[in-house]
Amino acid sequence: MRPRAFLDLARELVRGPTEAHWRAAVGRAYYALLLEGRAALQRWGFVALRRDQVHAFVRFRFLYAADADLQKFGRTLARLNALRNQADYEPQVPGPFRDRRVAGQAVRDAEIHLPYLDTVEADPLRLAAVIADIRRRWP
Amino acid sequence: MTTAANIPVLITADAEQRLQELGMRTELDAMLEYTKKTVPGLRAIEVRPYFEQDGTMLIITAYKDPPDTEDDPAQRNWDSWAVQAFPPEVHRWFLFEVDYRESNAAESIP
Repeated sequence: MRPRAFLDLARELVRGPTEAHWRAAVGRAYYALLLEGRAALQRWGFVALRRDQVHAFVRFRFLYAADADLQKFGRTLARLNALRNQADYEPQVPGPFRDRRVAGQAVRDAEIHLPYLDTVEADPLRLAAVIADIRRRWP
Repeated sequence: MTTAANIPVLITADAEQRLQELGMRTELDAMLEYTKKTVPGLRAIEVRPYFEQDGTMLIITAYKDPPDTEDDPAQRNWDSWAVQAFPPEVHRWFLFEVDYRESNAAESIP
């Protein structure tokens, strides 16, 4: 299964009728981005050493990328990470999960930013520059 | 009618402290100014800390009216601007989010 399949599930969940659906949708959208980002980094030769470091490992490689689109990917990943923590660990207050709008927007933003990885990979020159930059920044 | 000049801004005490540690007051001011000028239907702004393993970030929440359309590009537009306006060493500490709830930020400002 490709991790982006989680985004299909997020789309279904966000159409669901309850707060639990909307919270779960944010989590699936976040993991679609995180795991696709990790898979891309692996293909490019960068592997997180420990599982518990994966979230920061992936986020920072993209946040600090020289490529502006990858920085945007990193920012969306960071934002969804914060929203996902709220969704999973703060069920006592409805917060942004009072209705489906914020979760729906999170899923849409994930849909828009995920293809940035494909776009970079489809351009060998751009990809080579990205890999060289990450290698330089994280020797 | 609310204008950019009188949009209430609440920066929590914890956020103020973190801002001083980061030494990024000028950058936050620019972010608040941009938010006031560009986010349609903006009612209030709140800045609060977000505790992360890798260092406490600041979340800028824009309380705004819901958009007329299904998609609200406010967050994407803000992120695109931030990536152009600041290096990663700065923008990594700030998250921007929108919230369609009412805010009591106006009443909380001393």
